[in-house]
Amino acid sequence: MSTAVDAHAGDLSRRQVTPGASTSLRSKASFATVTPQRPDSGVAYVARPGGPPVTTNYMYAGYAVAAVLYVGYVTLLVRRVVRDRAGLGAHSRDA
Amino acid sequence: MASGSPSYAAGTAPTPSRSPALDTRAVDWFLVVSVLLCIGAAVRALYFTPVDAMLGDVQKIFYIHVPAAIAGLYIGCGLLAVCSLMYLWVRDPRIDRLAESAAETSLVFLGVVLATGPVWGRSSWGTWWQWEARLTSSLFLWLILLGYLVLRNAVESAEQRARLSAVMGTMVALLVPFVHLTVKLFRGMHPEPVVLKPEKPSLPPEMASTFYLSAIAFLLLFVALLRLRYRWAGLRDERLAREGGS
Repeated sequence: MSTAVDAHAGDLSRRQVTPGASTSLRSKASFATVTPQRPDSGVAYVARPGGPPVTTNYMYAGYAVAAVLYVGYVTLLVRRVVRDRAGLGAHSRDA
Repeated sequence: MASGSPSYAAGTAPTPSRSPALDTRAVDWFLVVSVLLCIGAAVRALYFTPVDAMLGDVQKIFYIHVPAAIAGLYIGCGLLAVCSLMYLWVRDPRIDRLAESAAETSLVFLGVVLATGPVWGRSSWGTWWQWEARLTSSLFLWLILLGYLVLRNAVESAEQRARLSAVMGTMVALLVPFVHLTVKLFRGMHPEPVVLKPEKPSLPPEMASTFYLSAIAFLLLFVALLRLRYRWAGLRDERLAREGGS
């Protein structure tokens, strides 16, 4: 099976990489293999048949994990500063 | 050490060094702007950047994974090593505090790297973890940073703590280039550098612009967190000094 694939770097949204879309770069490669394109052509990759794999949940999981870590650390730092600032204030009042 | 600089006394608490301008703010404009930039970069990456045709949406983890690695590995660990070396030379507690802050902030950013990488790996490689050179050396570096912070909490004397930590912090500098080169030196599953390489970045323009925005945003976040962590370290030392003096 050999079908043309539109793999322009700017057209890599899910809808636009489906097989059979308008083509400016034609590949004879089988859909069973993923073939890198010429780097100087501005083309990133040739799409798989049926478009890219559905990995949206992994994407959100990655961003959620990062957000939890960053927010957690900011919260920890703010709590530390507030606590020690209060401790310094209390010490000043005692003095 | 220059005369007039604060120094660690022989006891457990640092010498009081509070200046009238001691900054006690928990949140400043720099932190707010950097957090907003990070949110903007994430929104752009998630909703306004093309989907990778081979990997699908999960490739967008790249926009938070790589900036966190650049900030944590190269900036943070580099700063830790430089500050540690400088402390051994000038013995200024402010440099020790900066080294400590760089280590903890790097620990968080490398934690993000180690947490988001396996999510990408599970989707792309079919496994959460591989004991290959890049992953293993990154985990090793993370554990050394953790050990550095544990060491700091384990030593009572402030001067001794700073000196021992500086020696350990210097060792980190030896690991950073090794971690960077693992993808070149060993056969592994981790992709080779896409951006930090002598050649032109292998990214189409739409992805590259998102990456650069994300890199700037997370580098600013790193600096903002480093500032906040350094500020807290000053407050903590000031409080300990007053408690020790009272």
